[in-house]
Amino acid sequence: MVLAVKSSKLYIGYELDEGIAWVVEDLNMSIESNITYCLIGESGCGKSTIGNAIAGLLPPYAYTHGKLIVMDKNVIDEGVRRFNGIRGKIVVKIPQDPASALNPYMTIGDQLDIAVKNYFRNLSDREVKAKTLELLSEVMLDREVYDMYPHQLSGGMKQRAAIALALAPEPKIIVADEPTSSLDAYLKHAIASLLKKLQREWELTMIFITHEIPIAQYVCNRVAVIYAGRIVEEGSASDVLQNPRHPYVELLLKAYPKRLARERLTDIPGMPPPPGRYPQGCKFVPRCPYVFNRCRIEEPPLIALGNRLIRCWRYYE
Amino acid sequence: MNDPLLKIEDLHIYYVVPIGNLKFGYRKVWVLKGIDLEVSSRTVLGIVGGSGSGKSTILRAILGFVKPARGRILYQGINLLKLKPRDRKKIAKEISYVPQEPSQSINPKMSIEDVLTEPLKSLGIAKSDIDRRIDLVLEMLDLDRSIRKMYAKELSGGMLQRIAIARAIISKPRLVLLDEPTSNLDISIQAQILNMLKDLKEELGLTYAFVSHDIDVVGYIADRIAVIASGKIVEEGPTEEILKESLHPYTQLLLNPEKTINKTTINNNLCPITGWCPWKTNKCETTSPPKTRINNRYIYCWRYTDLK
Repeated sequence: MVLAVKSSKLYIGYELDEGIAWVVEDLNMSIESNITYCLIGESGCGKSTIGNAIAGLLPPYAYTHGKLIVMDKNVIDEGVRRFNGIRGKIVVKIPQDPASALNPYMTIGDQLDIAVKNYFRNLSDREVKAKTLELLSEVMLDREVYDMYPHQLSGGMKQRAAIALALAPEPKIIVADEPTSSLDAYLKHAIASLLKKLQREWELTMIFITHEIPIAQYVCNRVAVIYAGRIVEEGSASDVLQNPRHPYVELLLKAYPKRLARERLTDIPGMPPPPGRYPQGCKFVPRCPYVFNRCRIEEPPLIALGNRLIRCWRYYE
Repeated sequence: MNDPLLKIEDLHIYYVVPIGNLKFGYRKVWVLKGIDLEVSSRTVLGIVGGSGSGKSTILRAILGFVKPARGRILYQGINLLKLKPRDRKKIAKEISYVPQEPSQSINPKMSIEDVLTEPLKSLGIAKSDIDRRIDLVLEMLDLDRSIRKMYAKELSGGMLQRIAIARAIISKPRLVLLDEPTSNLDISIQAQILNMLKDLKEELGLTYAFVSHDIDVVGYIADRIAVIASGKIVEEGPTEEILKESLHPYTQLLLNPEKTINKTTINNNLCPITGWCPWKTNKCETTSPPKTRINNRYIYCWRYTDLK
């Protein structure tokens, strides 16, 4: 088994007035190669921070602790971060807002040409253009897009162009940070199925960050549900999303409207805790319907239950 | 059926957009092309469609933000488009609006108390009464009283959306227009807001027009659903029927989005899905399908018109 990404006891935090707020705590994650691994969670739970850490895009003022290994290279070792040769070559990121990845003053073709030239220096101009057009057809865009500016494209087309840009260096790992959240319902599925197809054909390891459960169910092989900066349940997508064990995941699935079911949605009372203000003990205590004493005092470890991992005292036997 | 609270007839709206990059000249883009809708009192009409289909423009037209080229908007039988500004103001308090992005619609320089006072001030309500009403609304929405002195930046997205809803219902409206009120929220917060909207509707006897691109969210809250594509309604009917057996291929696409890749709608005078419709005939390429009634619902598709 080849691991594309492995982290052990990874902590990531930012400095606040009161001290360092740890956004991600005690993250132990192993992602196999050639699969789509989903990070599901609500806003502010730290899923984008994990994505940025893997893609090597943590800001310089972030604090790190622990280890992160990407493709056998130790990229985060306590406070030291070494992403040269990895960032933008082996790991790339598809941003949430495609417009932020594209230069508004350059045509899509020029931007892709620069990216291709940068990674394949011995290609002639004609070969570069041929490669760019190939990339465009990979993401199902017409040749005409080569000469178009970002503002002439619709949201879905921009997202495709951003994906083509990410694929230019022929990466091994793609971090897709909510690639579908700014699109409408059926475009979401068009982009999701494109990513799914590319993942299979290019043999990529895709880390897919989302808060939409139907999309996760459709795209992913494995799922990790993140709450308050830690994994609360991890397992194969079909197991976790159809038969959840952790109370948070259970409630989250019930909170999404089901077709033709008119009964009241179960809402999870309260909100997720903001980083740096996580409660003592289990972080889900204030919203959990099954709380007992131990939950308030001690935080449960991530334990194996069958072929999944879970962080809940109810399963600790 | 009782008389509809809001009735929209043959609504046409165009936007003017510049041609090309450095050429002078403008052209009309028709965003709504003959919309017919009815909302009965104390029911919820869900409007579903892709982005750019014109669903928000319908709400903007009801509010008077855009001027329709043709058509009528009847509120309790009064045509809103023919009203003088002074008469319009009297009706304005009965129709309120919840925008998609609460953080942009709430003035960052005003405290929440001021935000909630604003709509009442223009109605000439006494100060003591305003105070009482704010307390009442905050209680209804499960918000703490301490929130009155807070500012928008201190609140989370879910809280801000509650404030936006509070602001909409504080003037005791009859019709509330909701423009994707949950699309920027997390799932657990979305469930809270949807449940709250349902409760408020029962408690206050409200009528909603609920716009969203998520057919499951609309299916949860709406009594009737109108599916709109490229400025035209393609199908309208009771929620259960639309979700269980949709007649129009575009609705089927929205219900099973995983089946599609690259199926777009076309903005012209014909049926918006002539590009990929499995049932396309010669007729579809020449004339737009008329409104056809089948039992309790309406459909715009030649196949069903011919069947009849």
